[in-house]
Amino acid sequence: MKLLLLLALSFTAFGQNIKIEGPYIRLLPPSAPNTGGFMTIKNESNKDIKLVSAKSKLSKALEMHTMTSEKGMMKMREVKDIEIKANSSTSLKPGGLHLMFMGLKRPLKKDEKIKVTLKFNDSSSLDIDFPVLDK
Amino acid sequence: MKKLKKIIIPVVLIFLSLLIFRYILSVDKEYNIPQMPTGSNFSFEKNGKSIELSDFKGKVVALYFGFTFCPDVCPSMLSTLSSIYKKLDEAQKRDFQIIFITVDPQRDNQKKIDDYTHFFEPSIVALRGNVQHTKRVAKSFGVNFSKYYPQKDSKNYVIDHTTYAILLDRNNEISEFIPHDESGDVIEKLILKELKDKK
Repeated sequence: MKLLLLLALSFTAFGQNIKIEGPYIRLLPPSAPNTGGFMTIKNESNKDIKLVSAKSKLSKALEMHTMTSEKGMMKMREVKDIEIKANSSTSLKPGGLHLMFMGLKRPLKKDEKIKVTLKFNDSSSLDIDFPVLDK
Repeated sequence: MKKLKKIIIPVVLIFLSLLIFRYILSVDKEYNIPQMPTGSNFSFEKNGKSIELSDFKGKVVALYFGFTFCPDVCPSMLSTLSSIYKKLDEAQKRDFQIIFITVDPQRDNQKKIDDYTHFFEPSIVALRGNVQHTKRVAKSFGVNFSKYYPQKDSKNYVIDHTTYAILLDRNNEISEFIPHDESGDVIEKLILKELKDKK
């Protein structure tokens, strides 16, 4: 029983050790079918973690993407997960890793907040309000 | 004599391989020298009218090849260029033109690119042509693009593309290639410098 309690406690603590900083979704023209979501994920635990999925009602699909440059060509590709090393942080920012909202169901409004559920490989999850920003 | 052979043969071999290596390097260098794109005049049909780059002679032009499905680098560059335009005084505004050419004419119709670009700045001229024509025009400015299908059976695709903007002087000559991650301050300085040159 004690062990279970200890496990449950450590599990919660692990979940709390993930912090999201500066989340936002980019405001794009109403005709744009897709947009990007950005944030910094801080991992304050002693274990590496992975963001394995993101879900939102805003778009038909929500994928995690990376951008790489090859011979001057920018290539956007889906990634299965995004790793955040122990006691470190990973930034999702323009021109790099980002959440890709594909097939927006409606045009975005500036400053509205969009709920996004982030799931990690330890099966913890976080609900984060992403403000829609013009930047 | 045997000892001498033992020394001479490896020395000769090393010397020869160095020569071959140097030759490979020089050949490689020759082929790797990128041809600086020089740009070219172009013409696109827009609402029944022909729009040419040369129509904008006398103005400084920022040219950008992008597409509306692009969630990241295209809006960043358009947003930066537009905010610089908005800061210009009236005389400078008359002398500066942002031109957007879609690299995804299959999904981007004229209305879509007009709506998309006018969201950033209503004075942007958005152009669209067929893929072959757009490829030719883009190539003359050193811009490449191609479709990539994440899933083979899928209709959905993304476009891999060169993401720099091209700054043209008042004679439509290429003045600068602006990387997509260049800071807004640097881009503003480049545009202001070009605007000061009245030739």
